[in-house]
Amino acid sequence: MISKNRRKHFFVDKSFQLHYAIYIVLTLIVVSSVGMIGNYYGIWASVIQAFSEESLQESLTTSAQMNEYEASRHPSSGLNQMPSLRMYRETALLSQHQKEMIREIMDEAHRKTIALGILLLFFIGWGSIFLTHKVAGPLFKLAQYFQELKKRNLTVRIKFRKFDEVNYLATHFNEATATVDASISRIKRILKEPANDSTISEIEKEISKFKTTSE
Amino acid sequence: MSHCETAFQAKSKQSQFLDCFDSHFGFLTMTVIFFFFFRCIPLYAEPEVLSAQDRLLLKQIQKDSLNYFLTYTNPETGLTQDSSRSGSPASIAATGFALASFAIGSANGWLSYREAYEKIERTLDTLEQHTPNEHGFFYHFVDSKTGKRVWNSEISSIDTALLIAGALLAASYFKGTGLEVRVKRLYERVDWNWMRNGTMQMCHGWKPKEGFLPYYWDMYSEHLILQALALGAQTHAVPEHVWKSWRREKENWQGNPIVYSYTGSLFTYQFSHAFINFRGLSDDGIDYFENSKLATLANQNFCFLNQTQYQTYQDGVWGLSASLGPDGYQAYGSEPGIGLHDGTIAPYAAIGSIVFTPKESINVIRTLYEKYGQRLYGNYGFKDAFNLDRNWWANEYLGIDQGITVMMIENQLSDGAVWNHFMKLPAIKLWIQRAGLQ
Repeated sequence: MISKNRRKHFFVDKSFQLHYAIYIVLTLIVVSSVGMIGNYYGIWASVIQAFSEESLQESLTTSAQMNEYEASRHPSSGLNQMPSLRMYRETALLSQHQKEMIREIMDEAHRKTIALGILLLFFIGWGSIFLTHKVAGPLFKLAQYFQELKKRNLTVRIKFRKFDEVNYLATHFNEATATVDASISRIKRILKEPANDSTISEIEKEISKFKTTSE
Repeated sequence: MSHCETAFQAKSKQSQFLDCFDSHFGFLTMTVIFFFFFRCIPLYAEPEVLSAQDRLLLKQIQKDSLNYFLTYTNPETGLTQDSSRSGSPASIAATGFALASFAIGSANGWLSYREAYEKIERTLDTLEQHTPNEHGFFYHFVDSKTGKRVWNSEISSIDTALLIAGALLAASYFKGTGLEVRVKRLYERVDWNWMRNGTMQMCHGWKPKEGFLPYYWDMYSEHLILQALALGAQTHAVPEHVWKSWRREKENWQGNPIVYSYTGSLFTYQFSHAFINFRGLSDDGIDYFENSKLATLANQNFCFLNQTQYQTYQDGVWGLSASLGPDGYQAYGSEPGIGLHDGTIAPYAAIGSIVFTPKESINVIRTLYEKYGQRLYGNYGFKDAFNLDRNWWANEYLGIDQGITVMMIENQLSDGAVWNHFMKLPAIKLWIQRAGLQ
């Protein structure tokens, strides 16, 4: 079953919607970029620091030094017979391997970030059109109703969608139209009845309720 | 000659003899008293071993070494880095030396009373609230920012002892304050008996998964401070025969017996002595102060004999002790002991022996300062070690080595100020009594 409120067109007022969509998209892009860059440097920078060559070297040296401290305290244990960790040629290789691992992780993270960014842009675009539709739709309708009023059609009544942004305007518009419609209908009804002494005064009384530029 | 005359003559001779004896006895007595009494007082002024310039140099080294603790103690936790190397964890032994150094710094006017007090207080806060312990013993290495255990560090008996000793010493400089109560509580929390693991010797340490380490303090080394605190404790004190249970292995050096440590590293003859004044204390005839003096001279002689093998030992340079080296940290030492050496000299070794061998120590300190100072001396005193033969120069300072420097210079220049404070502690008096030291 198709909803009564289903939107038939994305763009009800193309220039208006595009205009505001650009504003919204740009704002969201700036905010997202600041957030993402902050996040990138906040989290990744600490990861990069933690796995930097200096940091790895420090960790290895600390580990080696603690091993050496322990060995120096237990000289008869044979621990001192072990070559120091500092002397392992693999230390440099380990450092290199760790760096490669980090580079791979970072490349993967960059790819995912870019894909996520594109997806985010799509959603922001779609979201902004959806948002502008909620504003542009009622305005477009309102313009159509004013066109009807211009043709002196006082039977029009506005009905916006439930979650449209300017829903309250419909009530005011409908009240105003109904008031004018009631007055004109009354004058028409007086004119349809057989004329008597009070006819003119009743019409004047009804017309006097209107404030016009001719006064 | 009548009997009476004869008797008179005999009496007269006797009287002459007695008179003569009296006058000579008096003279002899006075001479003996004079000799015994005044032999203690030198008849001429003994020349000062250290000149005014030497004292100034030592004071500068002491002040610079103390700066290590001001720079490398975390201002939030009060825990001191093991080494000046970036990324180094905190060591509880270095923290103990820091506490002692802050008190010494305050006594020398390099730190205000309040500054020193607050620094010590901050460390105690962390030790009480954030640093994990097992039966009151602490992990050897902890994170300087959080106080938590790092790597596979062990609960260490000797490092806890050095921490407690440093704290007790610091508190004794702030008598009558809250620090004394807090340090006492920290000391009383340590279950020294637990560290025996049911044996008669103190274990080196304990790890959560492995349990007690398979090493015990079974012969002479730096553990005398651990023994003193364990025997002198009011709570959880170890039995008296624990003191007797470790081996006093002796080896003759130039006709003198030395109770030696396994490694022959000089620090083993210094660390306990920085706190405890062993002068005049006899352990069944062993004077550990004289023992350290002999061990230092043996270390000097060992380097002298090996100077043709290693260029570093030339120009009278000596000082083999555990330190960093070209192949990492090693327990360098001389004979008696295993005597592991590769030409690496640690400047702190000679400084730490300044109380035992002031003349020999100051000579090598001056040589190191004047000849190699450009590469070996920095903002925090002497760097840890160097090796001319391998053209290797340490680029870092170790907390415990800067600590022994500060403390031993204080003892030398301030008439045993550290000893005077530490020896007054009830725990030390109790240890002397329980260990049967004369």
